[in-house]
Amino acid sequence: MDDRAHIRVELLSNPAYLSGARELISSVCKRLGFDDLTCSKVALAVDEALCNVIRHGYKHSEDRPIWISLWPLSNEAGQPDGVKLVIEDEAEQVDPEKMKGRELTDIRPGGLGVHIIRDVMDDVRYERREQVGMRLTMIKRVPRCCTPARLSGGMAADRGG
Amino acid sequence: MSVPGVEGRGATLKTRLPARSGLPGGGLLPGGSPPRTGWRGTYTLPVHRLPLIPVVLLAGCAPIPMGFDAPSETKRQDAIVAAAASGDRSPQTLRGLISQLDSPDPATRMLAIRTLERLTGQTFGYDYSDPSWKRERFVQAWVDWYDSEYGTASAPEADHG
Repeated sequence: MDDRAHIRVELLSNPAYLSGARELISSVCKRLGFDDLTCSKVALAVDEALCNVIRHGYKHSEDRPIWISLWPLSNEAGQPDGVKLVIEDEAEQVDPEKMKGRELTDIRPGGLGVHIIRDVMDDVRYERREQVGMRLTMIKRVPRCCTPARLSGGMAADRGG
Repeated sequence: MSVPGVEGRGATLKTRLPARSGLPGGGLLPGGSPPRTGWRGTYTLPVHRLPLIPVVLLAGCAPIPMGFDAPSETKRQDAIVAAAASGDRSPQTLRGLISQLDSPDPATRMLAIRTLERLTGQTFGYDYSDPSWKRERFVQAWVDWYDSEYGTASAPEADHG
């Protein structure tokens, strides 16, 4: 598979751009065969991830860079069956082991963003980037109930007008 | 192409739930008389009550505000956590918790449903990570349950002082 991201967006860490990022991800996920509910949840995870970067990574600075990259995923038969999203920043690096979120047996605020991301996505991994900043990789598979046929069919329909 | 629900925390950082009735938390629960201020509005203590403050504080029995109508998301989460810690199943607390199920902040919704589950042993199928169009009927289930348990007529009026 080509390693290049199919979509790569750079935005500043301004909350005003979060809605645009959510809508982009949600729209693309819809094309990749996700149902509306799952699209919404993926967008929620992206929103939480971006909020975490802005709030904790950049301490609310509004002029720092954030990159969102997206790859469609395919199963062994070559059919689209999910999406991989990577969010990168230049914030201070932290120990990925501390980005686990927490169990909610005790009900208290704080650290909930990571928990929400882990709750709605199938696979979540935090790591340090090579030089500076953090990288969050998230994977969501198309639920079995959905027919992942929209990628080819939908795009063909788009070309036809 | 329509974009599925893409609500998120960032988009709602500076918004409030519209008051759908005169009830706290955007009027999730029917019945009761309209409060003197919106549930999430800023309450101004009447001047004629100011002299009571030191008396109450000195007496060591200062009323602990419920906090479910606090302007700050953090304060509302604190109120939820306090309810979870106390195990308080009073109608007023339950009503306040149910009002938080419609919060724009997924973390607040998560805390609220987990606390309600702890206090009542049920969720009625509510999922904090669902988009609003899907949460709506589950919130209504909570409202219906509250009405059946406590009745709209007996629902305590929000105490704003």
